[in-house]
Amino acid sequence: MKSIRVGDPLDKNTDLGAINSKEQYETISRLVKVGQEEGYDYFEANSSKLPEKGYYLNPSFFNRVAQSATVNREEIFGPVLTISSFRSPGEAVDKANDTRFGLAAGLWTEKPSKVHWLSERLNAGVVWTNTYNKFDPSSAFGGFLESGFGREGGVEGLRSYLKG
Amino acid sequence: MMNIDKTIKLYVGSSFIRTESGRTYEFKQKGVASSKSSPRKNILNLSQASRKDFRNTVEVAHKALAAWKSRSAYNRGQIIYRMAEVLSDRKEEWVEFLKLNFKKTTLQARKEVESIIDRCVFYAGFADKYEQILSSVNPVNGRYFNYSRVQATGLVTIVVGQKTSLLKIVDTFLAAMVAQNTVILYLEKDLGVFSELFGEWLQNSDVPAGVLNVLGGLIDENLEHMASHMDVNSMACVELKSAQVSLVKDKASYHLMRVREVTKSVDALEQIRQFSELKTVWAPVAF
Repeated sequence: MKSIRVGDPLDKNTDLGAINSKEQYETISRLVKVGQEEGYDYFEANSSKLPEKGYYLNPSFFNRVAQSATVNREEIFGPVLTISSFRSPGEAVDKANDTRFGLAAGLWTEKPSKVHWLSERLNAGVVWTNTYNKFDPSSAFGGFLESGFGREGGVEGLRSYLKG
Repeated sequence: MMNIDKTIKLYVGSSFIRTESGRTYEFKQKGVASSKSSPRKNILNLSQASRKDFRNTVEVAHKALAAWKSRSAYNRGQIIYRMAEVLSDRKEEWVEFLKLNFKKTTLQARKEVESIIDRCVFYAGFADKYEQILSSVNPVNGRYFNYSRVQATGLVTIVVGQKTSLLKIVDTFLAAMVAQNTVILYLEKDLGVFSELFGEWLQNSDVPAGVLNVLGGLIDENLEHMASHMDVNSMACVELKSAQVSLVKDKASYHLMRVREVTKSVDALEQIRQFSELKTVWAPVAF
């Protein structure tokens, strides 16, 4: 995490740009504060110096986060991870699905049968397996539950442009 | 021997129950009872489902979801096919029911029931085929295997307005069931008389408990509550007034519940699609 370069989003060597608005910057900062107040271990990779101008945040994570934690229940939409452990794939699915949202999920496993088992059960519009954050116009993107209506991209994305 | 009239009840989790509220509303049979000595129109007291009944039913339907989804597609098809078999056996009972309660002619009633039997066979066939048709392998730019597949939306509430035909009611809930959802069917006023008939049909067809639940009552009394329930994933508004649909859409915007308006008849596959969610899976390709 320390190797993540925070800085000018137009610089191709930058990994993490600025937060896109003051409002969002404040939301993220508020949730980070709430997470700390609720007593969860918080780590921030602050090796890089943040640019002075702009709404920049260091990448960070909360460790050993309970399902009931605010940082687990609400969408942070910032460079803040929450980490929880699981003992079985079934428990991982239960924890992952225990939310009102369902935009995307990611899983890592060497076992193809597990890829299929898990991707079938995760309630998310997109499941990235052994990869993350991939997008393509030929592939549908969109969420389950409170993460949104409809899909963008792929055959499904075309439907919004059709009559009837 | 005297006739023993059946008390019409709600159908929840494979049980015939009275409303917890103890309330009833009157339903006047439109046809004439066939007893020649005393031809008369009967008044039935139907259970008037309350908010609490709805909440209880949501719990039941939610619990049934995982088991219904995990059955094989083939098995879901078998169960829906059995609905056709059982209804075929009970055709005359249904015809009599429609004649007595809704004053249909024998011909009209028979035609309607036969259409429903046909529709069951039709949807049964789709149970293990719609996923292939609605899913896709997507040619993404890069070394990834990428596919999109449909899966159940979850718990679907179908709210049915008074003017809806029997065929449309059955057509809508079959589509939701085939799409692997569990269903709460909320029938307005006079249509509530179907709860018992549906219940007996479903129970005999081995439709697992909680997959399809039937409530009857007054829509305006419960609509706001049903549309705001956080555990309902999708709501189909069948022949509802535009003000009622607006209310549902407004309440649904808080938890992004999917709302479907069923006014004109749509293609069955499209109907199944609208009761489904699409999931896209990415996996790297390498050697």
